[in-house]
Amino acid sequence: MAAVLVEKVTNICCSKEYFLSEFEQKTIIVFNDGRSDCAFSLKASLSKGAVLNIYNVATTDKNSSLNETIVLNDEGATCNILNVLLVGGSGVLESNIMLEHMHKETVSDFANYAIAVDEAQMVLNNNAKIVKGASKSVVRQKAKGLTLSKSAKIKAMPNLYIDEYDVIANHAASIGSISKEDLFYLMSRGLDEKEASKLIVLGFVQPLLDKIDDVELRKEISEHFVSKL
Amino acid sequence: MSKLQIIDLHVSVEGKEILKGVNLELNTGEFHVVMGPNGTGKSTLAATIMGHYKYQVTSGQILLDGEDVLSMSVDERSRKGLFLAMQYPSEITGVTNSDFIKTAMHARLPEGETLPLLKFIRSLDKACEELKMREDLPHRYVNEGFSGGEKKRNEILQMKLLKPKFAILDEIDSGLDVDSLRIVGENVNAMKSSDFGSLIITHYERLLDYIKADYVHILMNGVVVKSGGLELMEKVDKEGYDWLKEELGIDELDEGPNIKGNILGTCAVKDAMDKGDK
Repeated sequence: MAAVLVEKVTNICCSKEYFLSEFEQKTIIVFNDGRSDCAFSLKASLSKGAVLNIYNVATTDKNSSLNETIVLNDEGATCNILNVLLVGGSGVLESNIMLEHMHKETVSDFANYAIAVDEAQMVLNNNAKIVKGASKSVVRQKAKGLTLSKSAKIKAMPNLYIDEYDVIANHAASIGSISKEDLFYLMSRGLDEKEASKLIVLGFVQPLLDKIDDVELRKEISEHFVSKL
Repeated sequence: MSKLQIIDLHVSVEGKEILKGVNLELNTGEFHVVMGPNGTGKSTLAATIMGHYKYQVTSGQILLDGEDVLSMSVDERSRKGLFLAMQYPSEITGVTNSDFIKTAMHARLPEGETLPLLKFIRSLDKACEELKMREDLPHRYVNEGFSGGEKKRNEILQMKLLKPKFAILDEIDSGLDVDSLRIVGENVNAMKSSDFGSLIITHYERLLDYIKADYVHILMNGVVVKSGGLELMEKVDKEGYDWLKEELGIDELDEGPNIKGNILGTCAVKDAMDKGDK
């Protein structure tokens, strides 16, 4: 089995193409640190047994888009995508992700954690396609959104296009502000409202940070989130 | 020594009056038990003392050492020495238990002071051990994936570390097995001192095998109808509340907020529920 390769993409105004050969494993971290307006696109094609992990991270108040298409071409090809996106100011972020299951027994797991503050707007266009004949494939799609101001907006479109009966597919989306009950719980232990909200929001990002092994990058990402909140 | 006074407290939830003039006085060094049938306002009393957003105080006072508690924010009440062990504590994803407790302990230090890390870890370890909690507990997310018993013990853990003047325990015994009940009871009991008092809300006498209560109050229809010592509790345990209703001439209990849910797609059940109502 090929070694796990980690690639960081920090200059994100670009297009990338990847081809994963049989049983190849790769982790790609795409980090939009909000330096400028930009559009990122990625295309990937996976062979038999290949595993691709993509972590899309954004902390920005600019306009940006994320366009990714991943094609699962052969048995056992697996793609895990984790989006952790924070948009502030009057920024608009659009995420268009497509997972194409072209062969039987392919797997995708796609989770979104989205935070919008100030006047920001976010569109999560999440798509998965299972073609006829791609039986025993598994698709999981999840979107959780937090709006931290009255005028912040998050729109989630969890789309599944399925042409095969024998598959497992699920999707879920929930968007809201911080739970008052959670806030009450933390405040009842002496944390003021600001501190309590910050803890809850950073907790939202934590599952991503737990996945990043690179200490420097983890620190950098976490600092970016703290500074935007 | 500190004093917590609840004076003629009236509380409404969504326009319905639940507490109709509650009077209670607690000193540190004392354990008070509040009992009463379902829906008579016990949890309302607990949540109101802590300042839960759902409950509106329409009149009355709560004083902590003479200071007006009702004008304080929730976090201020905590820092002043009030603590509520909740019946259904929240689960906070992504926040580890140890980070949460550390932040809470830090919040009550004078500005500019920091909590010595080693001291914190030692006291957390010690408290975990006394409560017989799993070793990985500090690194798990707050209450996430905890069993019912673990959640209750986690509430007591926070209480031990935050060292409040008054702890309100809202049915801390519900959902606990015999062993957990004993551990929780013993730990609460061990806190009793001239700097610590507690208001214990419970349905059962069981917990009080381990917690040495001093006073018992019975809450019915939103008022304290009777106060006394442990003999009162024993009587309720044996005979229920009917004798008291008779004595006080109460026919029907006001139900608390109507929380009967709707069940979809099971007409037979709904039918049975409707009949049961009559």
